[in-house]
Amino acid sequence: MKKLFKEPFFHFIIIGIALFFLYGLVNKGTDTKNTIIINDFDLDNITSSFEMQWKRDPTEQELQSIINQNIKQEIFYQEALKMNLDHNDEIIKRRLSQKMQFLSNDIAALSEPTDEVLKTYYKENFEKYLTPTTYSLYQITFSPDKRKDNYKDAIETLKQFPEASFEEMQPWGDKLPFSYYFEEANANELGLQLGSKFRDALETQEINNWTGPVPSGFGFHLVYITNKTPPQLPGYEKVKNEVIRNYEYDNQNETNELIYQELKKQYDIQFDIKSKDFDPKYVEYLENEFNN
Amino acid sequence: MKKLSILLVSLAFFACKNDKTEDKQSEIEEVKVTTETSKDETNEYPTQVFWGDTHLHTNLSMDAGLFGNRIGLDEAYKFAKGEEVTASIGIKAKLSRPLDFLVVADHSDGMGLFQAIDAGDEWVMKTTQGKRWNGLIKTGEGGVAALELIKAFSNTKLEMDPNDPGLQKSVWTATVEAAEKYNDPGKFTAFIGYEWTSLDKGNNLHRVVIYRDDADKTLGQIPAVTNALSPDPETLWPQLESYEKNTGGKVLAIAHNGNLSNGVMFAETRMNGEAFDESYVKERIKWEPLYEATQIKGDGEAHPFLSPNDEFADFENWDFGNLDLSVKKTDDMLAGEYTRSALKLGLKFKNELGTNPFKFGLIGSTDSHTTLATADDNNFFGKATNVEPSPERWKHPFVTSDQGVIMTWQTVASGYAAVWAKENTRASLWDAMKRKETYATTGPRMSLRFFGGFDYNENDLNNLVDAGYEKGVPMGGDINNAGDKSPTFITYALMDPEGGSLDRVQIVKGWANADGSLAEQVYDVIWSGDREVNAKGKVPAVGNTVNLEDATWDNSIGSTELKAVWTDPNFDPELEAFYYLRVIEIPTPRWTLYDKLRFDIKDMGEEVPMTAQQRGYTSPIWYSPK
Repeated sequence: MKKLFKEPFFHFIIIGIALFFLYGLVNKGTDTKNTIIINDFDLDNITSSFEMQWKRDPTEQELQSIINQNIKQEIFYQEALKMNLDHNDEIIKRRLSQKMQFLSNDIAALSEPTDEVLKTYYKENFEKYLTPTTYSLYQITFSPDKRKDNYKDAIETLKQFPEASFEEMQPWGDKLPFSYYFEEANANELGLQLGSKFRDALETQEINNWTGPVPSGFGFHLVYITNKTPPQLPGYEKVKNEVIRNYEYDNQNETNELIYQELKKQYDIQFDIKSKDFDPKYVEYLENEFNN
Repeated sequence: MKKLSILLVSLAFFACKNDKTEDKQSEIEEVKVTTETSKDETNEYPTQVFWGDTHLHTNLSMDAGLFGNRIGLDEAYKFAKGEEVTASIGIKAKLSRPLDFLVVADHSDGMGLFQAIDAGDEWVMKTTQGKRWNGLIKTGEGGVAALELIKAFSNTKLEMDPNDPGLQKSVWTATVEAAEKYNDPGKFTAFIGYEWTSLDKGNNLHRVVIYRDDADKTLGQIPAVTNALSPDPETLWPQLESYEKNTGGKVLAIAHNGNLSNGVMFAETRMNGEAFDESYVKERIKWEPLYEATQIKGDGEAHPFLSPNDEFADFENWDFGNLDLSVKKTDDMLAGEYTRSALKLGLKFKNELGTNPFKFGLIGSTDSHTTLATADDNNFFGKATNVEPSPERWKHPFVTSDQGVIMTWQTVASGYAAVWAKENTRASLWDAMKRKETYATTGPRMSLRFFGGFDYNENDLNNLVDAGYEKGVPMGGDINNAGDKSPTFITYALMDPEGGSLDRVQIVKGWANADGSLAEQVYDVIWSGDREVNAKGKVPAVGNTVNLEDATWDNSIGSTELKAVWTDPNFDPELEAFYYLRVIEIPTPRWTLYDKLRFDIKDMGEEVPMTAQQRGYTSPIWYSPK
């Protein structure tokens, strides 16, 4: 509760309530009345949003109660505006600024990119679309669960059978729930299954030979890579959806920034800093930064 | 420079690839045939576990925005898919491993919009500007319109009133559209969903609603946002029902971790104070088949007050009060808000009313409000933007009231939802959620299997998936009518290849005695090393190898894989019971240790834990005599 008393928002409410009564006292004499009109549109809105949630029309009683809530909200809202309660309210600021953000996002969405624009984007950002390295490989696992020194066992097996055929090598490993043979598996998938250590170590392994020990999240492995395909750039059509997604995202961010910069031009941003905690040079620097 | 080097590497590989592989080719072909046959190509059972977060907020959630979250739907999906994004506080964020699925569970709220120009809505066409811009868009010059619009907008010379109700397009539409945009069947699932945000006197009763369906069915379904009508979850269910009836679609709800509900989440009466009846218990389990057992705001599997004999129950519990700490927690509230005790209460109602209202499966999720679904301790972006990584965050009071304070160091880098499914699509994952073939972890991606039946034996461990499904049921399933047999279970755990190794696999059993009392027992099934059960019947602690100077640890004290067949030694075929698997890792660094080292924090006090034993909880298998 102590914290609450320190909240500016709380002060506003207190001051607001005080003003509310003051206003009532002062205004006693005057006879002006505000008008709230509930029209077809409002009623339609009320009933259709009720219907959307409840899949039926409201009863008369429910309708009356919702209208009452709306009127009460509208009156409080109008009175709060009159008393400027919206000023410097962080919640309202954020809400309205968020609305502006929405508007700007929608503006960005208005300009639909042509194929040509997208293709240029795809070429300029080709790294985003490269497939990971893929491998076809055989592996056997030396698990620490089943051996005293699984690293040593792996080294010795390799020393003893450097030329072993795939059938000959298989039984020397431990049984774990991974394939003995991975066909055209991409490095990311291998990394998810066996750990990033395994994925990274594969990069430097010789192909067409038994090599290792290769570390993984589950111990050490001997590996025979039969095929390694470096990162490839898929054709534009293949990744078009992703290109559109990325383009739209970047475009949205650029539009946001553009709108912000355009609006900022109409403001003179001044720093009125008297505290000695801030170097005047820094303040000057900030002022320059924000006015450019 | 980076681009160039990738090209060079590619060229180099192209050059040497062709001439080398020729001679091995025939041999490869032969072997491929023999290895492929043993693989489960028919895919009769779910063979893949998919990882995701069912509970993520973006800046569209008002509270997330208030905390300073400035990033939205695009960033949420990009991040979940493993792309790098810029977090609200300006630093780069990336998951070390992508997720397979995501439910953005924001609160819905109406919002003004400009797509109406594109659509040529009547109120737009009434203005000269609107007409002109609409025309420009139609003739392919949307870019020109956009620039004019920006100018007009900046100079407040817009002829349209952005607050015109005609401009209202809901956040819901944006939410649905983003999910459609990022949903990539087979690769990444973006579920359409929202959070039904019920708070009753500060007691958290939130539900995440997840649709199985696409935009065609869901776009018109304005979420049942909490309103003045009622915070009672019973008012949510008819809306889910009418959705299914009207669209032919499917929907389910996941109850939020109940640890901040002050006993209301699993209260033994309805919210209106009346006793449960047949209709209530049926409806509840029909719509709420899953429960969020762990998340950033505390782990909710078990509590030491409720389970005094369980040495692992005292884990990251948040037992201080309700969501806003307006009412302090008292011991009598705990039974109504922890997973294990709710599962037990469910058995009681099964006996009384014929249906178990709390027969839920388990998932974990983050409930992060940062747009970033992080549950890894070494990459934890916190509960909300104000506690994203910084040297100060650990000592920031996260919730404060006159009843007490919850510090940010008490938040937990937890959790994720694991789902066993055949493929990564909305339909396949949703169906798996509905049948509860799911488990919760506090973050690590350990592979867990749990099967129950009456006929398993040690040999089944050689082919445990086939045997598991053929001779029994997976996690989330039911076994009945034991006759003179005792139930047997296949338990299997494979460590996260990036995480800590495994300390032990346990089975947690709960049952309802004939006299109406409820009971529980935790069994150590299999554990690492050669530790022996001590006089108290417990397997001693595994030890702690974490080096507090550099946040490293030694996996050799744990196991990479633990598997066993277990038979219930104290089985009574007449009693309702449940069994679930709890798998515990060896101690590894907690996010607070990573923060301490990363930011060189000197004043982190003794009260802040530096290590934790991460864990996983599977959905139960229920036994019923009937």
